[in-house]
Amino acid sequence: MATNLMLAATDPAETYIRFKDVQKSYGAVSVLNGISLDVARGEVLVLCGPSGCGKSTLLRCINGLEAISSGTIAVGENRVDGASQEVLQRIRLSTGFVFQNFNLFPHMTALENITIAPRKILGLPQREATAEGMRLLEQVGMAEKANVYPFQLSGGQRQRVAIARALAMKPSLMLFDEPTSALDPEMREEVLQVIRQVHDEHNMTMIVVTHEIGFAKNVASRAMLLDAGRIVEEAPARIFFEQPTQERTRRFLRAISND
Amino acid sequence: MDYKFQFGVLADYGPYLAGGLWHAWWTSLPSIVFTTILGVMLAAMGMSRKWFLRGFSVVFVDLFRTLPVVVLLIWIHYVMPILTGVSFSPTVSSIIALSLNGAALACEAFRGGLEAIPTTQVQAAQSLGFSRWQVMRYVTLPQAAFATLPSLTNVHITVIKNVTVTVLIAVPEVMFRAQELTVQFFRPLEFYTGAAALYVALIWGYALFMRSLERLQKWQPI
Ligand SMILES: Nc1ncnc2c1ncn2[C@@H]1O[C@H](COP(=O)(O)OP(=O)(O)OP(=O)(O)O)[C@@H](O)[C@H]1O
Ligand SMILES: [Mg+2]
Repeated sequence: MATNLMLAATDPAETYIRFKDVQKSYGAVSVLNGISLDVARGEVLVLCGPSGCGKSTLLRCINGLEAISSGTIAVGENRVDGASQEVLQRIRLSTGFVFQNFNLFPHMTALENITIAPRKILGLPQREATAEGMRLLEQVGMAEKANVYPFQLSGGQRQRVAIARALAMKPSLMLFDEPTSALDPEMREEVLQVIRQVHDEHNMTMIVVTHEIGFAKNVASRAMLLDAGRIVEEAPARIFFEQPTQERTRRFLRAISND
Repeated sequence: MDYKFQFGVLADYGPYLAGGLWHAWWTSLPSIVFTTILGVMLAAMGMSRKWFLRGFSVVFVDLFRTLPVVVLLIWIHYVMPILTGVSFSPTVSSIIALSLNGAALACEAFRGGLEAIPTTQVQAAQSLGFSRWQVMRYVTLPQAAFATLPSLTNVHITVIKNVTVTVLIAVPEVMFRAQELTVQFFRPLEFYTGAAALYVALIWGYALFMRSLERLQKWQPI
């Protein structure tokens, strides 16, 4: 597909996502208050912030699940704000989204969850889609659960299938919205491991909302604190977690390392 | 009460009475099929972004849910031919009337089922790149179908019960034959009791069949 060609021809420092003075409000409630942000291709950005600060909203504005109130967002050469259905679909096809609560389709097996979009949207023949689906299930360590329904899977297993489902569309950007926070601590590592591996293998652009400091320091190139819909601090991941400059960031990092 | 039961007449004329079930069934079944298809379409239209589709759905449902079936039936069979010159056989008129009424009820059932699907399912599907129509086709409708099954069964049963009003335009189903036989033999109690038993059996069998469909669901909501 066209996205692969584009990937091959890009230089690594090229900006992939560009927020310019983005505002978003729900009625009178203002959630994003002037976000400006560039994410380079291949970069992994970790986003933290207290509950309700607008992290999910920020992610959902990138693939147009929510419409912004003012400002602009561009993904690749496509503008998200004011996009036609066609452009919006193009953006979504190149963007994988992983949800906090997995949101697998409960009426489909693990394998069907992964093959449905390639088959129905990209028109991949069943056999090819199944082969590719099995390869992805193997990659996330779920091959033996291919024909099992989501209700029969643990949280960690569901999330791994959900990641495989997003990868099946060969996205060039992955958005993770607290992928491990609905999981028991023992299951978190298996999911984080999969995300790490996705990053290593595909060198994909990622924005990850997470409070997993170890993971963030390891994988992220940059980290950012969002509070009340504003960017409080933004720095290379190690510096952000080890020597934050803002008092607000220090307070936040203390709070999350205490629980 | 000095009525003397003579259920013996049913031994002679029961088979003729029961033969009415054939007509009842072949009026019910197409009506049930159209009811279901139209009901899904109306529910989908009701969720459309196009105002005229939503408007059509609302007007259709409100009109045919409030119109008494008897009035609708008589109107289609006797009035429409006067207006349009097009007339239908009693069975076809009945199927049209029962389907229009049933579709309005089925739409409500499907709407309830679709609205019960969490919006996170829609968001997950949209994030993958599914269009609004594909989200409904592959994600929300298949999930809603099972959740809607019990209320859809009730709608279908209403459709079957409504077949009895087609006696008014002489569809030779069970009630019509019971009436015919009663006029001939003056045994209303036997024939109408027989008719009741036949309809109960038909509806009971149908409900049993629908319940067996529920067992096809291999997954559970999460
Ligand atoms: N659909 C909506 N309608 C109205 N308000 C909303 C809606 N979605 C989110 N909000 C509000 O917007 C704010 C930001 O929500 P958001 O989900 O982006 O926060 P978050 O940072 O992801 O929080 P959490 O860590 O709890 O997931 C919250 O105050 C929330 O109540
Ligand atoms: Mg959130």
